[in-house]
Amino acid sequence: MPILGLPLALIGLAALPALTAIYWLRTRFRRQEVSSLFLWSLVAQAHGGGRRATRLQTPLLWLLELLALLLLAFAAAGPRIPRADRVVPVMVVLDDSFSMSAVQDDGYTVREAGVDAITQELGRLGPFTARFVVAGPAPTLQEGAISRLADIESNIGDWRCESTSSSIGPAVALAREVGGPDCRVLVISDHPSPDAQTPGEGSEAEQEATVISTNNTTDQAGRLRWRAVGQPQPNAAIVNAVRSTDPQRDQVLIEVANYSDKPFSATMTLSASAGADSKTGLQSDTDLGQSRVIDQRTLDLAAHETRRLRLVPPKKSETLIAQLDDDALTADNRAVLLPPAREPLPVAVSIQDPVLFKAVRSAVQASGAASLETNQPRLMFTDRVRQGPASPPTDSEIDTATTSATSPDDRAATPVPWRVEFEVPEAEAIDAYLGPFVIDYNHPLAAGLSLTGLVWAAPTTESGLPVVGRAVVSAGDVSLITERNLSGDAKSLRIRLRADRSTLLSSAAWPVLIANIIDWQRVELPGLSRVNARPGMPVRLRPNTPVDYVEVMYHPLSGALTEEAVKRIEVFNNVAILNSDRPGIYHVSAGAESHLYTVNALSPEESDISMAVTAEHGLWNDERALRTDYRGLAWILGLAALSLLALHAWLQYRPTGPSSAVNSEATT
Amino acid sequence: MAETITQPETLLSPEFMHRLDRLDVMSRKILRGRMQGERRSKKKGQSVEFADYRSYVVGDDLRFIDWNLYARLDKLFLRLFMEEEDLSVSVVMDVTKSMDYGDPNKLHYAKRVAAALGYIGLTHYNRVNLYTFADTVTDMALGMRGRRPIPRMLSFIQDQQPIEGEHVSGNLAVVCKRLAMLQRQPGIIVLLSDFFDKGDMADALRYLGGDKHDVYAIQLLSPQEVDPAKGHILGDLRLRDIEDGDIAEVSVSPALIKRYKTNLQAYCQHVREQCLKRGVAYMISETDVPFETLVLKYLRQRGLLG
Repeated sequence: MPILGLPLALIGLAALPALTAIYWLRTRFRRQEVSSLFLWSLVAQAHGGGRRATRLQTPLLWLLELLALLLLAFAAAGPRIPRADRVVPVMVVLDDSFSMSAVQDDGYTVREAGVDAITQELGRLGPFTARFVVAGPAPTLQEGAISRLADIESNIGDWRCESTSSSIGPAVALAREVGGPDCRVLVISDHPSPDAQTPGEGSEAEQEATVISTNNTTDQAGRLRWRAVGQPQPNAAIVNAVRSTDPQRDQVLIEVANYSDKPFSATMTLSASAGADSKTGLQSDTDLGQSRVIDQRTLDLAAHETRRLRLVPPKKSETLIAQLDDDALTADNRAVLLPPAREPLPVAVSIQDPVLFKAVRSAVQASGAASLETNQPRLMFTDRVRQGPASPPTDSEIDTATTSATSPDDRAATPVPWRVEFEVPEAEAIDAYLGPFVIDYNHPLAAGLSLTGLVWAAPTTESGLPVVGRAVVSAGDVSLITERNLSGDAKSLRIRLRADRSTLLSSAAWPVLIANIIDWQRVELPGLSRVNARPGMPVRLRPNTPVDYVEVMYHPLSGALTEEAVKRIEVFNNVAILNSDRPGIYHVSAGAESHLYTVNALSPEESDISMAVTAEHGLWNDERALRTDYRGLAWILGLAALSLLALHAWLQYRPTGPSSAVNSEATT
Repeated sequence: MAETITQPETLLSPEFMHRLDRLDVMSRKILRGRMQGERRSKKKGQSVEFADYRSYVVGDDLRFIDWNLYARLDKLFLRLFMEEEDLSVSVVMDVTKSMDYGDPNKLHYAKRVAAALGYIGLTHYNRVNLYTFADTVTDMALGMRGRRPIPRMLSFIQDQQPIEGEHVSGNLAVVCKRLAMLQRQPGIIVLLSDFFDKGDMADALRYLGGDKHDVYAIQLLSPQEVDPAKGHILGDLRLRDIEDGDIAEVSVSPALIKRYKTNLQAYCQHVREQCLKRGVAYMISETDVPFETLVLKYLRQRGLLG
């Protein structure tokens, strides 16, 4: 298919009407009165009175000039035809977010429109070879390449449009790496190219723009074509669904949003099902189907309103299913919440300082993942700092923290509790640190922790106890939180803090720190770290019995058993890390054990399809492509134009014979 | 281009009137007048100029018997003398829109010729009649004689304007027929027109032909009509007939102008032939010929003035 290297030069075609106008103005009939027409009628055919349409005179010179201008304009536009031997390599990046599964007004999904767009784009190229990259949370390169349009559908089976996010930027980078410098990249999405968006239009787009521009190199500019095939539509969606992890206080929070400019009324049904159990898994297709409705309500949502619903499940062991009416996008209309599978972490607190004691207890209770237990605690907060080699806590320490007696046998079976030791210095031997605080964000304790603006009172270097272990938080060369291993798998954390001289306890960082400490220990417990996971959030499984691998089977959120391939995940250090980006129910088998967890399609960015567009951006043919893949035709057109001009000159200045025939025109 | 010049003082200047005083309207024929005048008549009358003898019959005026001849021949003969009568001079002026064309303007030129002829006629006690016509006779001033009606004549001529109207175009046949009815007295009829008539010329002139009238046809053409290039009629033009509004789109080239001139010559020749066939004296003049030259030279050469 011929292309134009410089389409802007086609503006030269404006000279055609200009030339025609010049001819028309020059040759149009001037009005002239004569005393009588009958003498003229002898030489020209006169017609009756009245105004008639004037036919444009088309002298040969005008036609030649018109043709020459046409040829010159097209020559300037750089027409090129594909070389006969070229095969265009194309990498197609497919937006895998679930917003691509939205049904448009014509009944087709955005994905189907995307397939059509791919067919169109590849069809224009001539011979091609295409590979596909599915841009889910992480880009995935599809195996095999196609060179026929008929093979497109068979090669994009993994493009299910179920992901809760799409990493188009990394996918484009991957496509360029795989495709090489000569490849063309086609992006199929439902939102416009980040280059075509104004800054601040969307954080997702900005991130992609950053990634894509970072990966752009000079010779790759112009090789990216973006086809947005979406359609803005109203949509109601479940954008958040949370179930408390504390079985004693089972609560559900559901947020429903209306992504529309108009009020929207949706019916939300909350069902309970006993079939799906995190211990036993799904047993049949009807496990979730045999649910009973426990709540049904109509939500009258204003435009762009997000409403929160708090519910208390009647039975703690039942799976809850929240379902909205079907609309353009059904993927975000259902959320499945499994009952908590893990008991709260037993925590003991043995601290003399009443302020610190109260702060720790409150933070532990607020975490929702721990319970203050005096019997066989798995985590102990204490203000007794041990010196010397790491060793488990003594019985007296445990006794101090517990009120009920435990037998020696129980103690022998009880794993060594983790320790969190508060080193509380004397008031005279402290320094107050305002920062900057150095935080090791690779440590689990640092997740979401921010100490900016806090005052942290800690012992001076000279007065404090010797610091042993890895520093997690420090202020300059003063370690504030350090971690060291105890015997076995137990760990010890030392926090150097004078509570009454610090603002840490009254800041948001305090419950975050305590919650991180509890989670840090909880992941070491057998079983799944969470049963209701968010997309992209890793789920840890620590089997009760050591195994080499676990098997994961995927089921859609509807609960139907599908013939999905079973994934085998290796187990390292008795922990299997399960990364689940696809919304659904995951059945994990670890030897004789069976676990279940869900990932719900909770992504406000993808649920908001009111900003979806149909647009095209970017051109494939840059200078390099034009040079390598196409053959220029400009010289042929220029030569033809030159010939026409020569003919024009000859016609204009040729010797004229006797008076030629009278050129008279009469309108008809 | 079509501009009517209507200033009275431009028709005849006093100096030119003095020069016209020496001229008289001549007729190629001896025409019968209504009153005694300065012109020899066919009738035998009472002038001093001897004409002939004839035998006396009872009842003749005894005063005209030639008694000397009776003495010699003993027979009575009557002496006949030439009768002198006035001459009817009719100036017929075309006032169609086509006359309001050219530079110098044809209508103005015709007015001056008519004024000059009328002036000469009146100063020699001829009966002067003025007619104007378009599709028919539109106005007339009849029976003027002597110097007294000269201002009236000039005013009449001066007031003539081209006849406006969408369907008003020259129809010479109707005009000539009407003139023949109006002008029963024999005399000189001078037609001043461009004769751009789409009708049959021969059919028109037959009403004025014969011995009754001495007809002169003066065809007036503007220089732009003789040579369209002088009127910048060149290029692609939408020509409009100012009489009937007809339109023709013509690409005027030198070759086309050449053909036009040929056609014009052929048409003028046709008019001339038709005039000669009917005994009408024909002459043609371009309006860029000085008016004085036309009157004092060409009309004298043609015998209309003497």
